[in-house]
Amino acid sequence: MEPQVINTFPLPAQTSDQKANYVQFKVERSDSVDVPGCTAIESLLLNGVEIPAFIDEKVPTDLTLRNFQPVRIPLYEIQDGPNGPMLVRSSKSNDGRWQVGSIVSIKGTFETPVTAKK
Amino acid sequence: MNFQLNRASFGESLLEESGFNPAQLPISRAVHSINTMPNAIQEKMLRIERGDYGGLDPATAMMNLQMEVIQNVQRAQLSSGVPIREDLEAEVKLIIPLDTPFRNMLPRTVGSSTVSSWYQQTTLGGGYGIATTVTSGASSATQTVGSTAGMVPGMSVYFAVTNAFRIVSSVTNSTTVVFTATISTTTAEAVSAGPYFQPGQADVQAFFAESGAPATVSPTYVKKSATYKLLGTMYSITGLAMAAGATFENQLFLEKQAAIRRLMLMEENALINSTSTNVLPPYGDGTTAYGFDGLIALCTTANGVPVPQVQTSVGALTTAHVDAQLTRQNNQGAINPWIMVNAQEANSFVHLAEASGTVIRVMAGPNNEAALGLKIMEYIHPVTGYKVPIRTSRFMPAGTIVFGADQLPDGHQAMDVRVLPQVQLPQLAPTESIQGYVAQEIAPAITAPQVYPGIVSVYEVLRMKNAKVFAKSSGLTAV
Repeated sequence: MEPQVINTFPLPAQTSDQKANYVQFKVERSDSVDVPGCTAIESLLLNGVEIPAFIDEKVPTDLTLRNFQPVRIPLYEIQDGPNGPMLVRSSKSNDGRWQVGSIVSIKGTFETPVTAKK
Repeated sequence: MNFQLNRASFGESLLEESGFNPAQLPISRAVHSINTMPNAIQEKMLRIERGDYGGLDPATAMMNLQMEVIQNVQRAQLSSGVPIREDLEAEVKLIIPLDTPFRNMLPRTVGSSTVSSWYQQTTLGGGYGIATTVTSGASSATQTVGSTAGMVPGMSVYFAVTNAFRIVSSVTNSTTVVFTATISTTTAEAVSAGPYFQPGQADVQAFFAESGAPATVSPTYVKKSATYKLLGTMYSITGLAMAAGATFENQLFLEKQAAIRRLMLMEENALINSTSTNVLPPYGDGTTAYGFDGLIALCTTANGVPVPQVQTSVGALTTAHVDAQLTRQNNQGAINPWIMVNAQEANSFVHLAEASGTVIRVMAGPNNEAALGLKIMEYIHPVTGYKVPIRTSRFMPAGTIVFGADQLPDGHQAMDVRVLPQVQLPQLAPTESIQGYVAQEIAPAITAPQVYPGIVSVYEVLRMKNAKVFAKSSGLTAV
């Protein structure tokens, strides 16, 4: 009987964000991430895990818990910062704090070619 | 004959729910098994086998024995004449699985009827704080609200839909307030004091004059109800296995015990992950949903968990995040909080503690032997300083943490499992925690007459008594 080969990937597989031409940024402070030239985000990964652009929730509008209002809450957005476009995070997602040292990967539209900070 | 079937009725009940009293259900047990006979009868039979008739003549002794057996059989029969359910209360109480931490920590209370009804607390009544709504949504530091009662400069005001708070700069009049910064609000969204504040019902008069009276306030509850759900597992044993096992191991017993343990694990999974809308197994048959809402499904804003307490796409676990969630819980009055995690997050806690820069070191013994590694059992609450237990269940989804509490601000249990008994309970059972497991043997099929199947089942529903003391974080990644 032929021995079964169970490990055909001796090296770590390429992560999805590396394959898909994402631009990567290292988080240096928790309140925002500078994303030079970024004008629109198609997809955003935090340490390789996608953060959806928004979530849909139902929130009660009074104490009876019978009346609700659907709310679409964006989880991140690009804002104008002192150094150009910066990425801010919703308070619904880790209280709006970016984990310092983590990698944010963005697939989107950039005005000018950027060099990813590592 | 003294046997009387106590039928289900809509008469008076000592229990809080309407319907029949489960403590008065007819006894049912498997009469065909000698093991289920009372000890007194078994002892008498053994004595008779030895020729000891207890001082009576053999005919009288046999007659007495027969009477006792018949009485026992009568007690075991339902109106259909077939004993159907074997009470597993004692067996299940003796089996304490270590891998069902969530199931183990929940009180199991006695229910009745087909639906469990309870009140979900939303506030204790207040007499402080703010309770109003935005009259007309606007992006401005000046906002129009239903009432500015309770607002004073310097206090923080929380907007439920916008999920943000602002500090009051000044109160212009009874409906207009100015904040220290602009906020974009939505029409009709709820406004309360916060976020570091236990929400009250309303800002009403509490101090009063010698000849006056304080204002009346009352706790606010939401009436909730849920039908009991049937949870079970099938087992079977062949006649050959039973016969072969009779000489060395009781195979029927083993099979039944395995079914009990299996059901406990299924129950742990359901109590955490079940939803009342999922039609797929194990929660449904592919067409119809049969499950109840479990812990994760109940930890939603639609069930009353405050918006900031449901965190999504959190990313890498940090102590700052855990602190924030525990603080919010504390603001809502949670008593004896706990943290429920998956093994991934249990490891993340360890790695946070062992990360470079922490003060934890490996201690070597006199012979230079040392144990490397940690198990994080508790988390020091950032506000109260109490130790918050970290409970790891392998049924928790990786990447999700639930922050719960044992008790509500008023001391009531925050959550319980309401169990609908299937058999008669001991006299004091309505005040005790019950398991509610029963086994029911099923007639063999004509195509397989030597296969003896059975079912172990429990009827129950998970009840959350106050969603505000719960919090949920999802989308966590391993550290």
